[in-house]
Amino acid sequence: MLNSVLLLFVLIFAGCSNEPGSGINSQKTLQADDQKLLVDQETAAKAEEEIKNIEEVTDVVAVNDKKLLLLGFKVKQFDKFRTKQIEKKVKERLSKSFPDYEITASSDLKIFIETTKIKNKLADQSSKERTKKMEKVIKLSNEQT
Amino acid sequence: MLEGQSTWIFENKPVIISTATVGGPFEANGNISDDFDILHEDLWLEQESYEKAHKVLFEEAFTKAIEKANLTKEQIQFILAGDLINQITPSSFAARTVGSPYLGLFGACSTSMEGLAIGAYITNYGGADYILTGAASHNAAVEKQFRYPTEYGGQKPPTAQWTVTGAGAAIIGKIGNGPQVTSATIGRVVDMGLSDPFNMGGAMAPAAVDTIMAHLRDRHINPSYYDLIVTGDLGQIGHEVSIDLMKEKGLNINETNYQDCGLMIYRKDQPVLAGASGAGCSATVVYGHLLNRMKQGEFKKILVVATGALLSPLSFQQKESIPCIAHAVSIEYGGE
Amino acid sequence: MTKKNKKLTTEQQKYQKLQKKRETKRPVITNCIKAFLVGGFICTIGQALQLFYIYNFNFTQKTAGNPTTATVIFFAMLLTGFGVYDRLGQYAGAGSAVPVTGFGNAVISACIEHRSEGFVYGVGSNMFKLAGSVVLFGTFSAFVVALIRTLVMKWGGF
Repeated sequence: MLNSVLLLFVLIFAGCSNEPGSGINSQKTLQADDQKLLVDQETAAKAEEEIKNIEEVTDVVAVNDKKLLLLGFKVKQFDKFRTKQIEKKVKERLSKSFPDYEITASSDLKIFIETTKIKNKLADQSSKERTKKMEKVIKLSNEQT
Repeated sequence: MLEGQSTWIFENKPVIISTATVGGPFEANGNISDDFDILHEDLWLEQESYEKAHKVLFEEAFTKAIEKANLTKEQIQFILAGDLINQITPSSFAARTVGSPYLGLFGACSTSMEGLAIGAYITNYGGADYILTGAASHNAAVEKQFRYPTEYGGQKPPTAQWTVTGAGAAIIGKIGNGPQVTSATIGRVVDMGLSDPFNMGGAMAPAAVDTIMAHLRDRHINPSYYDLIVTGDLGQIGHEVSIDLMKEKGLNINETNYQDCGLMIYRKDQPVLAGASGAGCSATVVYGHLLNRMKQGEFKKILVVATGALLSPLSFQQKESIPCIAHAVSIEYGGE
Repeated sequence: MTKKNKKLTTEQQKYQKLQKKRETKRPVITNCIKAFLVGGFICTIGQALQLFYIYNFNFTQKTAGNPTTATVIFFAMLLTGFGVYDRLGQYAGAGSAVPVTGFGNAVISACIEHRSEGFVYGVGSNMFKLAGSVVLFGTFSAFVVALIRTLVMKWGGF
């Protein structure tokens, strides 16, 4: 009986551990950043820097073209309760810093993955292809069901 | 003859000339599978619904009992049978197959002894040459009606019981070789205010004790008169509570000679929680296993006290408690 | 409790006390742990499925809930049909009843059971026998909570 209770506690506290992988992830995106820093991705790079400074954000990735800025970010585990507020904060900061762009910022995992995919393939696409992909992801982020 | 308040003494000693018991897969895996005449591997019995299978259980028991008595259907005067299903349709449909005049009974799980008592009475006073009586239950059909769909994943508490899939039938005759029905006590409805349909043993125990005490009092005998007093389906909890209750009322019961059919039919490792229940429980255990042991000389006199819980799914939902009843029949064989 | 006792006679109360002593109690703590482990396991599978749908298909975190729930209910249907779910339920109790698999099992088991009465009167009428209360009271309480929230937000000026 006591063993079962102990096991129970172990499992509860196991669920409370922090994600160890997030630090490594941001390293990867930074490296990709350094290698493929195209001039027209300056906005995206600036956006990433700015949002990374927000305390609750653990990881950011962004791409942009002439008019659109697409940014995906991850939130710390326990702050996920306030995701909506954090998303609002991010959008406000971005619209203040980059008033000329149409901003799409999302904490959704899928958006993050897709944005990372676009970013990693920047060198292999033409700007038209990039825009098309970005528009697709932006449309996806607006889906409700 | 009426003795005391509610007991009949059968001076002409009607005889149980044959019996037949049919069981399902759980019973086939159980403790007394050898005492069943027919066993089935699944609950469907090649029928389209559980209720139809329930009827087939009865039909097989009836037919087998008639066959074992070397009689024909036409020689049966009356059929006295019942079960737990709404409007006792399985009994009625089985009676249709046999074709004899039919008296449907409802005593919940006490139906087996209700039928045996009334059947013995009619035979004792020359009202019939041969009477066919029986009771049956089908696990899935009963669960569907009283509780939840069979495949529902609800958790049953440890006080719950498992409904027997089985039918027990007996043919009573005026003369012949076999165990004799010597007396019967008709029980009254006893309600101790318990209302948990998952703990019927606890609810039925007072009714069993009430009838046992009425029987012993009416006949002016002690419990030691009988080699075995066996209740229908009190289960683990009901059995223990009934012993406590009898001790409290000053009845000196010998625990070795006091048993319960619901605890006999299954093995310890079968997942039946507190024991077996159902109209078919007492019928199959008594008409098969116990009478076999009697014929082998192990018991000379037994008292069977079948217990029933007279609730319906609706009464429970309307916050009624569970009224219970128990009927006792004494069977004797081989010597005074 | 006292109200209930008033309706019972002394003899009934005495017997109930006697009976209580012999009544096997449910092993609550063991049941809770079993429910926790099984329920958690089912939810882990659900989470794995959700990630699978996000990574391999065009679903966002928001929209991946739908195929996940559908797949999980499909498994519940298979387990119910094969007669396994009720045994799992006896072991796990709330652990298998509370997740959406339990809701699926309630509907599916009722459907299977009443097929013998035909599709319209049997399956159609009876399929929400157990789950109907869940649907009704779930919808109603969602309405009430939403109403309360709207009023609080409005008057609280949030």
